[in-house]
Amino acid sequence: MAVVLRDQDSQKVVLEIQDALDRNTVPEIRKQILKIIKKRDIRQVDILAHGVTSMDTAGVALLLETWRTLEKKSGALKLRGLNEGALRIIQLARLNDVLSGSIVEERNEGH
Amino acid sequence: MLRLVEALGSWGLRTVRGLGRMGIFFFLMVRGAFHAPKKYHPVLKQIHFIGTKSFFVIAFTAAFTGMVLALQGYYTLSKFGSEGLLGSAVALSLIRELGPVLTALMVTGRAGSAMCAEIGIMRIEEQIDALECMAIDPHAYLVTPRVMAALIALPLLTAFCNVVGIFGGYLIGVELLGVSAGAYMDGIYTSVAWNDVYMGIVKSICFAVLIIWICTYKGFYTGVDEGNFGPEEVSRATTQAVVFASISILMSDYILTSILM
Amino acid sequence: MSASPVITIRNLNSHYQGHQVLHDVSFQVPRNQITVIMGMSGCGKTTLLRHLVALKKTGLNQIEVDGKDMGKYQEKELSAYRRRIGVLFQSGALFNSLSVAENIAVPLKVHTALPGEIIRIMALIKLNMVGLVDVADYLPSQLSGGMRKRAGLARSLAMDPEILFVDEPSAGLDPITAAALDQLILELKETLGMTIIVVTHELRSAFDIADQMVVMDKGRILQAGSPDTIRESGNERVQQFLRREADQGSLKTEEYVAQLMA
Repeated sequence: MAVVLRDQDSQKVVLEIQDALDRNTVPEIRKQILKIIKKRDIRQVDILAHGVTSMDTAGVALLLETWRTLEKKSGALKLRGLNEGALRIIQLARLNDVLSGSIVEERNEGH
Repeated sequence: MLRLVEALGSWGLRTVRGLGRMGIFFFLMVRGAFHAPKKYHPVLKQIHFIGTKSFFVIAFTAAFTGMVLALQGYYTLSKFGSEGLLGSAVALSLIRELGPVLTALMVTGRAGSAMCAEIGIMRIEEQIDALECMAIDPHAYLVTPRVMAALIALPLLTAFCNVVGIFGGYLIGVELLGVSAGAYMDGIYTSVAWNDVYMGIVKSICFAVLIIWICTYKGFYTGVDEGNFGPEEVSRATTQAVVFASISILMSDYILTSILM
Repeated sequence: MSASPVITIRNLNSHYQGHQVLHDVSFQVPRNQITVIMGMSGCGKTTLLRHLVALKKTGLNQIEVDGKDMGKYQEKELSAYRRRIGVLFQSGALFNSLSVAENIAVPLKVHTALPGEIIRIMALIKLNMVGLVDVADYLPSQLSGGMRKRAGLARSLAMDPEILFVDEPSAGLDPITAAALDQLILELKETLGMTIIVVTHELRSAFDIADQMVVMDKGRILQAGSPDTIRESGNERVQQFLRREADQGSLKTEEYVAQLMA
């Protein structure tokens, strides 16, 4: 499973992505994420991206779509553990401002 | 003298190369059906363009053809006192021959020329190069959906043409010239056999392939041999496509008729 | 920074309609860097580009990509190479019957299983990079030449290519837009490590972005090297090109008169 459910309560879900987040993997990952988010009354989604080896524009598009889906429900998206490459590609897509509220900087935490 | 031989030789070489290239084009056109991503939307779009948008033109052609067939047929048959056979004459002429051929010629003029021009413009504006650079086979992307659509649209249009033509013949034969309505319709029931309909279907399928193959080929190679990628080349290619396709339809019509007779 | 070049060109000769257009062209395209190919109109740079993007068939041992001979490519290798590259054509080469966003979506729809919503977002991201997100649903015929070119660039980036080929990116653009495009090209190199080959004759742009420059004339390479090497070149023709000095007329007076009176 590319997306692993790490924790959940009534309104919050913690997901871990264990794969590249690119145009080859996004179709499947998106299916799984949408299935989980659309269930019940999920308001907060934490995505642990430490295992994301690489990300391209498709991955950025998926993160944006997830963020927007949650925003519409007055929810929030938290992205943890994005590596340097991922952050750069978010910046290239000019979405660092939009997603800045979601990106959680983790410099020295051992996850 | 030497110049004549040289000209003949280079013409011969160009012709053989052109025929070879057309053969390869045909192969790639067919291969695209098994190669390309199986998406139906482009085929539906082309069925709409080739088929639905030709309805009016075909209806018009068919109506007047049926009407003139009835007029001429009545004149000829009356010399033998056989006016009652008018229905058979009109129906058989249309179903076996005029329906497929006229439909094919009209579609060539309308859709075939437009297709050739569209693809020709893509060629001169480097859009076909762009497709290749995106690792998209231009034959599978541009040509295959069109041939698949034509294979569906043309037989249906032919059938539509036949019906309208028979009705046009009825209008003139029965309403104007006084042939008995019962004789007209009865003639059709008794004389039209499955073989006649089959001939018409086979012809329309062959014509469909010919139209698309020739028109898209001409568009695809617009300006390539001359090394000139200007708009006048598109105009030239389109004219040649329509002429070449029309001649091919008429020639293959004879060949198919003699085979299926 | 990887040491081995992505593309190596060795004694490339090319003919077009009976004329020789490229004579013994040799140079290397370094990985993750921007190579600018410059020269007078008709010097063969477009033919060279067509060879590099495999639109023109290359003979054996003339062009190597990652060490493999392009002359030996079968259909499978050709397709694999083309999926790694993005190409911006001089005129943009947008598909006339599709909107700008649909144009960018084409390679994504054909080569991936991505859903329509994601493809749409990706197309808009690319359009935003070139400053065209407001015209996403316009047809190419409704755009100016400069906008069509920028849209073509966005489409060439649709698949996040490793190698980008750009033919005259700044031609026809106003200075501000041209500068923004140069910035984008630099950013693509720095952020994604893209290898970029730019064919241009805009000197200012060339010196702003190039890591390596190749100056061509009449199908030959006059000089290849860093921008400083080119700037200080001892080659008179190179200097003439840099100084934007017009040719003094290519025909002698008698020949000129003879042509006029013919």
